[in-house]
Amino acid sequence: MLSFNLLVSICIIYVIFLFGVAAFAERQAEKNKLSFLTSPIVYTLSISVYCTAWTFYGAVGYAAQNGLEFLTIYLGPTLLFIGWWWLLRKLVHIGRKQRITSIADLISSRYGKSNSLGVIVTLLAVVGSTPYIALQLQSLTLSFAVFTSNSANSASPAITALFTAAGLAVFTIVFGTRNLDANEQHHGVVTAIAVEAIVKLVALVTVGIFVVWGVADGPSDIMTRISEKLPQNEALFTPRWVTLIFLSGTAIICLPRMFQVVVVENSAEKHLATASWAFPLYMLLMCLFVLPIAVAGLDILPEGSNPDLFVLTVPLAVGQEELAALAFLGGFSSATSMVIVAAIALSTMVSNHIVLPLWLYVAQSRNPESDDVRSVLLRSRRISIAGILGLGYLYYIFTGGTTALASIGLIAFVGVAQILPVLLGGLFWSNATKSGAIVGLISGFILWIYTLFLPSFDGGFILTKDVLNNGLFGLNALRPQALFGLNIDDPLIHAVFWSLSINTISFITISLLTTQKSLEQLQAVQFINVFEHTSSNRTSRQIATPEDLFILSQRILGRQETTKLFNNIAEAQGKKSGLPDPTGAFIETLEKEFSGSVGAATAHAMIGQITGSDSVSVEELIAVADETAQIMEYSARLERQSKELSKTANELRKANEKLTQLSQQKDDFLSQVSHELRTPMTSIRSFSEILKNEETIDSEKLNHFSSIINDESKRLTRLLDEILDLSFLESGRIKLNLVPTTLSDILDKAISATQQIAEEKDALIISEPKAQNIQLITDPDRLSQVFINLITNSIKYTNTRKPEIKINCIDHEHYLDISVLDNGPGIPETEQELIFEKFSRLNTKPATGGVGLGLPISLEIMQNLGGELRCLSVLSGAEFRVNLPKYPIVDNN
Amino acid sequence: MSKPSSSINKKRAKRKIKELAFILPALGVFFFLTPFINTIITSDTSTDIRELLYYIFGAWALLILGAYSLSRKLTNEGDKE
Repeated sequence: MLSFNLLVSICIIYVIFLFGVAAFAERQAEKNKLSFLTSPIVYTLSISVYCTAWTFYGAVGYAAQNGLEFLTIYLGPTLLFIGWWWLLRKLVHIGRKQRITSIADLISSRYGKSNSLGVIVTLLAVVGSTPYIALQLQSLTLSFAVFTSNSANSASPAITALFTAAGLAVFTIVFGTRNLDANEQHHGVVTAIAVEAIVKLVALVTVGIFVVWGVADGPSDIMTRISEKLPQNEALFTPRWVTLIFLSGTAIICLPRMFQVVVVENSAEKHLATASWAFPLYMLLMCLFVLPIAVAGLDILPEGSNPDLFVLTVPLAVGQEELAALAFLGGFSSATSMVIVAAIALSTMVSNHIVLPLWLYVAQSRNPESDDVRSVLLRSRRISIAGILGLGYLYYIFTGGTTALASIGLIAFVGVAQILPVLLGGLFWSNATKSGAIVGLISGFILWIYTLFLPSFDGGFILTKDVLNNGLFGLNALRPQALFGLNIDDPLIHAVFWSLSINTISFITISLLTTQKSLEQLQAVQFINVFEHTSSNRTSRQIATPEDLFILSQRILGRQETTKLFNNIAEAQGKKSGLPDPTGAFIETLEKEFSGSVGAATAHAMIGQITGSDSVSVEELIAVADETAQIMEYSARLERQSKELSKTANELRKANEKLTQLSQQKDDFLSQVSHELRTPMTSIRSFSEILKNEETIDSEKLNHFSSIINDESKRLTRLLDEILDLSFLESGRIKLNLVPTTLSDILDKAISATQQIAEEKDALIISEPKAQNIQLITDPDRLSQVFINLITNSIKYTNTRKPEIKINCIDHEHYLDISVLDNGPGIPETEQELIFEKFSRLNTKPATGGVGLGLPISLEIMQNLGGELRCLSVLSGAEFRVNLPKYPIVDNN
Repeated sequence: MSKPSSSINKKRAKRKIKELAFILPALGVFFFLTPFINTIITSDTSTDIRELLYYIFGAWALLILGAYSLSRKLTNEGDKE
């Protein structure tokens, strides 16, 4: 038989080896050589901290007593991991984005960075984990006792448990709190845990292989024995089966140590993808030999042997001491890894959510920068670790160390499951409020304590046996394991039913009755829409100087880390030297960095204390706008765009109509021009041919034909001149000859130029005498051309017997309004704009011999002279008004 | 014309991967958390535990294989998001 001293030596050597592994990993991390440390395999192996001594020893005992029920503890996590895409991914993403340090931090952060919630979850986690830690101590003590039961110098179980707890506390303190990591990742510890995961798997599988081929005659023999010896399950799908799978699935995210390894220690989200199959595979391998070992134990060991210890006692019974030593080491690994990670996770929660806020409260009169936060944190974590192991030890002593391992573990599972409603509500329900979470958690916690935790002492702690049997104050309805007369045979299901249903109902009801504060709303949006939402930048609202922030940061993150961080931010702000400007974005980054060390609530409080405000900025409130508001905004924008589009389409339609009309006019014009060109050209050609062919033509005819050719050529030239003139005017290449003149000169010139056509139509042109002597500076020839056009048009288009054209003038200070009014049929309002278009002639008018360029030319001239030309609606006839500046307008451009 | 149809196919394939990620745990629930598991016992008059063992470990291994084959595709999806 292995001696007690040899066992202790094995343990010490093993622990030194783990120290070496952890120290090596820490050094590699310091050198930034993280490739192996942050690999998905190490991550997966670290998650297998789920398989504790409960799995290593307890599963066999569980199987020996309850058959296949032990599998539920591994099927729950399997379901959760293969469905990682829907829950774990979101949890890890939030953890990384919000720099979450523990499950208490996550809950606190989600519900408006509430520290009271942080405290409640911490207390719940500590109390919930106490039986679990006691389970590890019990299993270690039992395993020591197996080897030393016949030895004279064997220590009592209480002493062994005490030394084990002390040893584990020292190891955890040394490696878990050596320094404060910026994001609470412990590369050393995680690597050591990964090594332990391999040791326990190898140990259990080796014992299993030995049992199948060494004790039994291979797989078929062992299967026959399993069929004969193990309890037969009549029906697996029972309330207990479902409850256990549910509880184990819950435990994988709610147990503080599992949250620590799955979320906090995660260095890349894609590692979850590997863990989604690798971790279930690990559990399958761990479970593969549980039944063979259980059945071998039942077969070869005397009746009454503790089935929880079959992994050790079966090899010992067949004289395989080395194998038993390996199994012992596997059990030791399972227990130590759990205790170390749980103690680190719980101590982080205790220091961040209880000790530090208390210290901040005490130190409220002075700034947090005036004390060394780091030393407060480290000291509190070390004391917390010792305290947590102390509690585990006390639980072990109170329960007497005789309860089956599995039932102790299940008590812990139900305890931490109380966090589930608040956690899921926080991840998926935007209306979940802090008040709802507090009431839900407290009610669930109290019911768990009353219906499961205290009864687990079997009348030895607080609740006496009398209370357990007859209810509190003798009230039958208050019997802890038959609350309100609900008789469920299984106390576990009874406790799960009452605690989780009341917890969930009160969480939902209170959430619906209360409203969220602005910070809660902001955090809810950031958690629920974590994949869509980008963190909003906080507006600069601080009164803190960069120096204040630097000192505070140095106290929390350490000098080196702070210098590096501040330099990076200053560089990003474009500053070559000095401290960064305390912008909103910078303060937000800093708060997240602090969250990595002290938790979201404390970091928020510290930043709030130094910046003088913890209010929510307008930008943050905008970010709170829920999806409905966003949809409404999108909808309004779409409607606006749709209206704009419709308006544009309308304008385009009108433009198109105008273009079509113009195109038609152009076609008409071209046809007219062709006609106009063709007529004189035909005359010219005909008469020139006559002159060419007839040699004996008399002089009278010769004169007549020559004058026709001359007139037609002049007409052609005039037409081409007009087109050319308009082209010049439009392109702005026309040169104006501005000279001082009088309006009478211009009007006289125009009237005499139109004298011939006036006489032909018997028209009367009346020019107002008072306009005669007005002085102005303009281009007299061009202005005359405008009036000639207007008078000619008036005469041409007035089809009355005696056309009458009146020219009036109103003399303003700087400009003149001259109107040319006729007594003709007038111009319809719809066509008043069209007549100024090139090539346009009123369709209603008979052919007048013009080509429709007179008015466009006049308009261009007036615009070149700085004035304007309009057609007005009058009661009878048509009126054209010329608006003309008296002096040229100087254009600075 | 081939471009839009290939982009539609890609989108469809992406959606299918995500649906598979949902179906896998749903299958797990069906295997282990429905009364279906009881039929494995009652189908055999001798109520032999061995068949139940083969069933549970077989389904478990199947789910692991499914998760393994999906993990890489889902990682790629996660990276794209």
